[in-house]
Amino acid sequence: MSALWIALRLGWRNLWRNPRRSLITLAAIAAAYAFLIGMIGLMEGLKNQLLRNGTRLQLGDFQIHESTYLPDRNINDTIGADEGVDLQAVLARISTQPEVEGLSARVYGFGLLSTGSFSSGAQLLGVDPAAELFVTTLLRGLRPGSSLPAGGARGLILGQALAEEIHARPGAEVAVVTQSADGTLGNDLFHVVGILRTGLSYQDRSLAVTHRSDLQELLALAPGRVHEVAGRIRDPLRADRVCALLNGSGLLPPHTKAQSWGELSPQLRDYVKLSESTNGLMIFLVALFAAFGVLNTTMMAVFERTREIGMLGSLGMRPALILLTILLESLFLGLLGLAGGFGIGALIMSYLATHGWDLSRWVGEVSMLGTRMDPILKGAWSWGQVGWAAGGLIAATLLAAFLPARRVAWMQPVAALAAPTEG
Amino acid sequence: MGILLTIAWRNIWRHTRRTLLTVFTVALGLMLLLLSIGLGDGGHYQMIESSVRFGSGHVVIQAPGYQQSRGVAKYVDYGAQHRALAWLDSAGDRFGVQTVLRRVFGSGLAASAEDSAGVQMIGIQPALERSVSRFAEKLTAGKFPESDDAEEVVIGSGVARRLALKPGDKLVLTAQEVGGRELQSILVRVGGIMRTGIEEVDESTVLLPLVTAQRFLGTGEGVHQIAVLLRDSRLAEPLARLARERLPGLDVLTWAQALPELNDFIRIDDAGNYLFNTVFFVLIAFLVLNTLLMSVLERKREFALLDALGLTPERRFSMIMLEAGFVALLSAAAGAALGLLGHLYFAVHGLPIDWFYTGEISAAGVAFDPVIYSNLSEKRILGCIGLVFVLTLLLALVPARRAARPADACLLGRA
Amino acid sequence: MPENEYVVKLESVSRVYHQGDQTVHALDHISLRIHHGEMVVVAGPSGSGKTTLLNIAGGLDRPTEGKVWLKEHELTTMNRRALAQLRLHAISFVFQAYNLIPVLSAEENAEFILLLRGVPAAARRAKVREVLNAVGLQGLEDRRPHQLSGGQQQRVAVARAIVAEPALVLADEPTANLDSASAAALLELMVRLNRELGTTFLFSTHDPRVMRRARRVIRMMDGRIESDENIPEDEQE
Repeated sequence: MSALWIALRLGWRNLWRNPRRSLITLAAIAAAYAFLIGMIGLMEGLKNQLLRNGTRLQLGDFQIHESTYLPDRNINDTIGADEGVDLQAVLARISTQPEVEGLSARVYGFGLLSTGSFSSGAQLLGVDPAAELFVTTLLRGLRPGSSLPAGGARGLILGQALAEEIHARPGAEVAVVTQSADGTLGNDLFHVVGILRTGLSYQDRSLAVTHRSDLQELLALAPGRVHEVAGRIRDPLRADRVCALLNGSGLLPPHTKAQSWGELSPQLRDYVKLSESTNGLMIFLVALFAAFGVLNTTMMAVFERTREIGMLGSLGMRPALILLTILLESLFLGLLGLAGGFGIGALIMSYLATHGWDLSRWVGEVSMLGTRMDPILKGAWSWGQVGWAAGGLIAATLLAAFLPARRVAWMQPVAALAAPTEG
Repeated sequence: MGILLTIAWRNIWRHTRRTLLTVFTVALGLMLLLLSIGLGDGGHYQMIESSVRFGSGHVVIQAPGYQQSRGVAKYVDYGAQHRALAWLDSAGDRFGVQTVLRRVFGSGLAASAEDSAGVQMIGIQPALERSVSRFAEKLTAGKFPESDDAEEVVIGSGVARRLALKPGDKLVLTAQEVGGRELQSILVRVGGIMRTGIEEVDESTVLLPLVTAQRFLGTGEGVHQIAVLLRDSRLAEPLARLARERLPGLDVLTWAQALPELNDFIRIDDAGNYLFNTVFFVLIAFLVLNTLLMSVLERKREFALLDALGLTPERRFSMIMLEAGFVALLSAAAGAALGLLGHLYFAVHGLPIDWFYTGEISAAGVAFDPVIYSNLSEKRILGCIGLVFVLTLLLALVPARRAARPADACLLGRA
Repeated sequence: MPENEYVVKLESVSRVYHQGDQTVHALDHISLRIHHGEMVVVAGPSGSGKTTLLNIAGGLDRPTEGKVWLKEHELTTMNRRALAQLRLHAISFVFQAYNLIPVLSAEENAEFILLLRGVPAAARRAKVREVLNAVGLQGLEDRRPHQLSGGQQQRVAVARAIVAEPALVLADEPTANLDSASAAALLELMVRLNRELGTTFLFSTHDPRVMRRARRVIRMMDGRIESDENIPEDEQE
């Protein structure tokens, strides 16, 4: 259609009438886009990190409990109540759900640990180390010289701060006193086989990990009685879905419920949702400022060309076509700016994704929202967000061009012709 | 000079729309800066005040090495306490010391008829704590113990739930006392139940009267922590420094050292904020420079005319700088007005956290208050306004120098 | 020539402006007719209303009172869209300056109206080349306006006007910015077009040289027509 062709040609050439002005505005759009790409990358990376730490450190992507277990965590509310379950069979059945990648059956208790002159309370966690390694990275935070507890050996892994408090080192003997499931006081001697550092302050101060069978024995629980099955799935963001599937599938033992990390740690879930809105807000603000810049430029350009626009009107060119020409000019400007910004942004992101932003000189690990933030922030790419940013900037550019252009394009040619071109 | 002022002022209104647009853009940036700093600082101060009242104090005095490994045996004995308290008494006014609290810490088991749970025990001075610390205001049932040696405790809501306890019920506390190999138990009564919002605290804390705790844990007259609460947290650092000199043999820590995680969190949060604002301002600077430069470039003919009339380059330079100065003034005024209005609103009404989060949130071991109040010191406000002002003027240097260039006389000839 | 075969007809046209608290009567009850093939000059000092007359005749401006016709089209009843269409097909303007689109070459400027009308490329090319040669601009087709002299720019504008084959060409002080040699050349060109193609011209000017080449001179003063004379052929230069 020839009208479109006219508008495209004029629009493109008009861009280069004042190369310096066009380049400056283009650079501003490029800078805005590159900035957004970087920030989005960091926010996405942070979100991923918090999510990963939150779920992979101890929580797991989902947990299954007897429906009465939470929130009190009564020692007797095991899966399958007092009789327990056939653990092998149950785990095998749950694993048939295609998205499940790992399962770990856990036992919890509370005890008093003492090394003679020093003592402290501790949260006791009994796991099958081999299975646990498939679900969480908890046991990967072991200090050098540590080993995993074997069944029957009464080995104990202590959180670092806890170990320091009771002055326990690998090899030391620790007396563990606890109230068992049958009401008696359980009492046994364990020895320390490892020290653990999760970076989560609460865990490091109070966690003591041992083999599940040893803890069951201490707590007078039969081997088929566990409090929790923690699981890992391929994509943590599908956890709610998978739990819904599990709960409706009949693969779970009766009276049990699967809950996702989002349900178990609402803070974390809220944060994940929040970080998307924060990104949206940031895109909006940056686009707003970019729009102001483009508006300024367009206002000046249009002002200078008012007489010319009047002349075009006198030739018989319709106002809509004149407007389209100006809009296309801005569109080209925006697209070029985006291209430049994308290039710079991609460079920034490739650095951030591999090296990340290293803050470890100034800060250490911070636990927040039930998870842990590491001082090295790696960037993560999100096409969706980057697309939104581009859309926002283009919309801003077009809107900013539309306002002044509209006024002038619809002016009576006679008025436009009489306009001054210098301020 | 006076005429230059008049001309400069009128000049910026020749293009009303453009001037207003620039002023608005810069003002918006300033407003966002003030709001983000106000809410950021406010939130951080609240977190600091919260956590110092729960666990450490603005400055905390402890036995050497206690911070790293909190053995119950590492207490500050009576003699050292006396010295410290006496010194604090004398230095108190200078640093705005509000209260000095003594505390004892230990961990063990709490058991009721229903169940047992691991607990962290804190021995406190009820009368003092009630007036300053946060524990008292978080009571949801019952009351605080009356005296330092009562046999009543305050338990966290999670403990109450697990052990099925109400005010008036009895529970048994078991712990290992200092130096002993035997476990000690005492029977106490539930005086009150508190809910702090921090899961770790609510699930496992038991507050005991100080003397009762000292007897139970076997620390005698010793305490683990002397917590100093100040009226202004910014005086923590100077007080701590002086205390280290005057009280050798004791560890003196500021809240930042006692709660490194909180400190780190605040620093990261601040850094993020600053980064954001900096890049924003770079963007704005870009745009403003663009505008100023272009407006000068299109007035070449006018400057040629002024040159012909006898206006020296210095005067032309000054004229542009004055124009930029007026724009900066207007922007700073508008931005400050908007920003302060927003700040006042949030200082009085606060920003409810539940706009963003559904439940309670915590970071670095501190629960966020449900409402964040904005907090801006004069220094901050003036700093922000000054920054914007100076930035605009600096940017104006480039176009101003352009205007001062020897003019193109041939521009004058045309009709 | 029959009375009703006009190209432009104005009937009691007035145009009043309000500038602040001042009222300007640019045109005061003007009536006139311009016939096919005429070369008419509207002369008068600045402020006499010449430009306004041209703008109204060309549909760029609307009268406050009275009616305007271009052939059978009554301009005063047409909406903006229709007026624009009319300008595209039937009227060409040549201004004193700023006639050309700065980003287009001479050739592209000349063919612009055909482009707006949707004429295909091959037909456009041929016509435009021919006309550019006719106005003496061969070799300069690819130059942009800022690479052409004032006289050359005006000739491109005229070329564009010819290419459009309008019913009426309105030229508002076309020679005002030119030196005498260029002005004379431009004038010569327009006279030739009027004679050879029979295009109707309506000029405004206060340049006596232009007035001498015209066959009909309308003198205006303060928005009114003072005189309207046909100059017999033998008295022209």
